[in-house]
Amino acid sequence: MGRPILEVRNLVKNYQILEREPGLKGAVKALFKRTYRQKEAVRGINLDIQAGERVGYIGFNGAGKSTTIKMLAGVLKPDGGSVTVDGRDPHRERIENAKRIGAVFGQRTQLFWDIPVQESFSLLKEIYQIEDAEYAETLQLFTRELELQPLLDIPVRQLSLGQKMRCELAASFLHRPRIVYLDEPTIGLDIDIKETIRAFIREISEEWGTTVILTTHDLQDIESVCDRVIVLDDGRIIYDDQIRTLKETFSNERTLEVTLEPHRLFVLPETLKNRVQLLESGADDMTILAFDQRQITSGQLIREIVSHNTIQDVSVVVPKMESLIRKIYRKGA
Amino acid sequence: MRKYIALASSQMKLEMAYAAWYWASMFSVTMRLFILYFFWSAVYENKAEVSGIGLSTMLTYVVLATMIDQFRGGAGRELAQLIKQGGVAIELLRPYHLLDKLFAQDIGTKTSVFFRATMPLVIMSYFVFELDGPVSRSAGVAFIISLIFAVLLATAIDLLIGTLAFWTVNIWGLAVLQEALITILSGAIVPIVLFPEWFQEASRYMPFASLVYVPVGIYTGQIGGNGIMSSIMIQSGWVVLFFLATRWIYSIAVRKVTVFGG
Amino acid sequence: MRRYARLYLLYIKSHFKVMMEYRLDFLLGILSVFFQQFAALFFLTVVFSHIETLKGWDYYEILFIYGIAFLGRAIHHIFFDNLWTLGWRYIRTGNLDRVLLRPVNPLFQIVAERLQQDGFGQLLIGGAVLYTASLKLAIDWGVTEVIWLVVFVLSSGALYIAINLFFATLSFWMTDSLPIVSAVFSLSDFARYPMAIYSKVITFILTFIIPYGFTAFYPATFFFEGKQSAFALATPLVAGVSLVIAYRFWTFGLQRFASTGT
Repeated sequence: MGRPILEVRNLVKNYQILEREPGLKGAVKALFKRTYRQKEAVRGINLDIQAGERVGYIGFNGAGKSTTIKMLAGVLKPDGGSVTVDGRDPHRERIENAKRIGAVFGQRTQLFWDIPVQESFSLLKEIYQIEDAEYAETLQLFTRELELQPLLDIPVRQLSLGQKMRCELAASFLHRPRIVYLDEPTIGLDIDIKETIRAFIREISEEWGTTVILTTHDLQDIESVCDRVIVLDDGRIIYDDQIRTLKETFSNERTLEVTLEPHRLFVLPETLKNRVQLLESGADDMTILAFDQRQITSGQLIREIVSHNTIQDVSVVVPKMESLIRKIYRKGA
Repeated sequence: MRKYIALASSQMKLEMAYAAWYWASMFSVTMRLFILYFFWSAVYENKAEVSGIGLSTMLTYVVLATMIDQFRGGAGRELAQLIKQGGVAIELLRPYHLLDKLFAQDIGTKTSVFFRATMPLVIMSYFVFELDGPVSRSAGVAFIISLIFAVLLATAIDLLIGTLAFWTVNIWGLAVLQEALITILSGAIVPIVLFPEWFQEASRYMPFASLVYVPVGIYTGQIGGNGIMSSIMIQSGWVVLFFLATRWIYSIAVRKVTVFGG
Repeated sequence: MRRYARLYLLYIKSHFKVMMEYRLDFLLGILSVFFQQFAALFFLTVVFSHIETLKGWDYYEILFIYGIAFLGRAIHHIFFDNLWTLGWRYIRTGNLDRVLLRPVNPLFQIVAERLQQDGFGQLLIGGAVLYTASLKLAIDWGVTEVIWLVVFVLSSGALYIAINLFFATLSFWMTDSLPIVSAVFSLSDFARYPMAIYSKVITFILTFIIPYGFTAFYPATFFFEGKQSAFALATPLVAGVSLVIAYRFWTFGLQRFASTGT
């Protein structure tokens, strides 16, 4: 591994929040004396991201995701620590840095509201000074991958959310940036458009070696796009590892879903009490148990359960990414 | 009646919220008054009177006219907006007459503007520019009556233009025309007696003079004697006419909306 | 520089395409500006039908001042109108982040994102007024005069831009400074008349603090036989310095935005 394309050291950002007392009295007071409360949005983050990595950056609302991304992109100035993107300070050399990055910031459009998509692209071509040949080639590729052809002549304001997001995505990759920041690119979209978008990000990044940093609330995005996941909570990183490792760590975890005959109560055998965890019981005659395969095999467990209960159906489930991440949150919090 | 009072007062509260805009517009209007003051003082530098009007009367006229001119309605624009965004259908479900609701809100806005903007500015102007009082006590009373009619008429004209949005959707062009006609023909910038003869004659047959010139002219004495009574009669005539016309056009439009689904 | 010129042309090209889509709005916009300016001219004409001079300045001289003011305003209005929207369109919505993500000067992007076509009406009227006035004023038009006129008009536009930019920048501290911008802008109406009619304080403010005096009056005197103001030739200098100050302040505000991200 060479030098990381993105290095973050002890990154800190505080916000000042104006405290206002309610009512008229508070408003008058605020005119003369302003009291601020410090909110530490980001408290000392360290990161090394290699060129070509696709990183999922997740956390609850207010965990500091957007603030970090804004600092990485050079829009916001850190209060402490440093960010180095491709050897540059993205804030001090904002314009140089901007040439090499692309971004989709949630619902804010990159494109130009009143003019057709095609023209938005050609304005971006000038803004990023893309060569004619390269531009033509890229546009052709994107038009095919994202099915943009029918959208090109329509003004951005007339596009549906999904159509707009496909165009946004094309716009953010148009100048073949080295890093792309994607803040909630799939929010509110239909499942098949989500699929198109995920596939696009994956393929383009693979082909061009683009580094992708993706924040999202949809863990499916992470699973299908990223190879590394970073979990942020309250301004700190609480988990940072390869998705493969994450899955291996929890690879022996299983859940058992048991459906009893109607109106029967579930009985947990005494011998199992220390080896399984009762997650859910009773509702719709369905009981869910969590266990580790190294402590008890599925076969043993089922045998024990069946001998104490009258069972209609039983199934062993391999947990999804989503529940793994939820586990990390629970540990971190 | 009660619900309309409630509508008016809630609109008043809403207006209060825009403090920054309040100070900005106070500042702008004050500046406009100062420009007028210096301009007219310069006009009268070598003259005792213009068309029989002396300096202090003229200043009184232009200051009051500027203040009254602030009361050009906003109800019509509100209505046009509702129509454009398809909000009329919802309003039709509510237990009030839409025109009355808009009217009540408009009066709420204007009452609020009157007390928090117009009064302070007028009082300041009296001291700073040494304005005249009304020519007589009866003129003062007539002025107040005429002023009320003028404000009602402004709202009525605005609502009429607003209703036309049922047909044209974009009333912007009409609003611009209305704005320009009122500015020029109402006497908001100069007393109509300064206009050329034929112009004064023509304005007698139009509603615009009733908006500004009539109340202010009564106050400063340009309109006196029997003229006061007949001017106020004409004003009230215009108010009634515009109100009826607006209701009539609105009812046609609503029939159109409910039959053809807007 | 060449790159920015090319970019700007491209922006304009798309604007014109959009404009053609809304041809009616475009025409109405021009119409509205016509009416506004017409009201101002009408006022002047009515007043001057009763007087010969305003503190020694005649009708055509004042028309000439109007003309320069119109042209300067038009330049600002057509090309820099988006400064008005900095607060509510860019800062409040977070759109400024998007602007900052691109490798192009942020102020340039904001300004280029809007072209206010109705300003062309203003340009037309300003030109016509200036032309009419200059015919009557017997100005001796040589190459030097024409060059000066162009310089003055551009300086006037630059001043409007600088003053608006300066006050729009306050949005970085208060989210939307639009009320302040518009209040300050109302001072520009003073510039339509000779400074001589105002009190010393006002003249001082309009010359040294918020130099609207240089947007029309001072440069216009350059062309009036025997009435040249000593300040006339300073116009381009004042405009240049104002632009520099405003731009510095803007960069300072932008820095602050980057560290608070309001």
